[in-house]
Amino acid sequence: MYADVPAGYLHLGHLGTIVKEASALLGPEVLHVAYTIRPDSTDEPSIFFRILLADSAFREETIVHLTRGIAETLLAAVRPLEDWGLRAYFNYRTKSEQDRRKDPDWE
Amino acid sequence: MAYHDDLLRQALELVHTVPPTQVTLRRGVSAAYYAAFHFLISEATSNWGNASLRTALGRAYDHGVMKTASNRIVDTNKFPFTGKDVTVVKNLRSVAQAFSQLQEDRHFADYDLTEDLELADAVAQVRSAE
Repeated sequence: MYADVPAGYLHLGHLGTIVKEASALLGPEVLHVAYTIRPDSTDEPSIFFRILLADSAFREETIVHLTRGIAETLLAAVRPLEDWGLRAYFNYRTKSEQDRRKDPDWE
Repeated sequence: MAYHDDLLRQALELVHTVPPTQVTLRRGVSAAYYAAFHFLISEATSNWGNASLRTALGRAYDHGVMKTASNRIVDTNKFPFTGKDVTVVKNLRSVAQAFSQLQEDRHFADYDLTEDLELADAVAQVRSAE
């Protein structure tokens, strides 16, 4: 019997290459894309993207449009569910927030 | 004003609290998720003919099932929607992705104190519920 293990758990190197290529499609407002693969709150295999934004990109009136565009680009290029069996989630942080936190997971 | 509208207004007020705190940001995100949750239920149950039982029907909706359904909609292999209106499909997937994301965000906001919730992320999450 074989366990149904998502491809995203097995081929980390290939997934890393795909994410890196997808990140190059994003605009200059995106400074860095990192990610973690782990179960979500319902124990489903997932990929959590961490998107570092330029401070100038964070404007409340446009933040939804911007973040939706980033998510759509990454979803289309990486195809987390379709090709890797991973649910996708996105979190955002500005450069100044990161400078204050100096969190290595976002660099 | 509908309950979900009140929740969204509360969420916006919370994330605009000056100065922001972990309490205001996290409660704001949580309220935004519940705004989306109750809005979707309200829209779905409004199609039921027996108006007096719509709120009771709404109690049957389950967070986990709604999230699973949302993620299935996002999966273009399982739901290619071939031949359907492209704009409608795109909007449907956008709502599904936003709901799934908001539920995960709420889980973090309400339970996970291992790292702070930042203002930009909280605002983006709350605004996505609109």
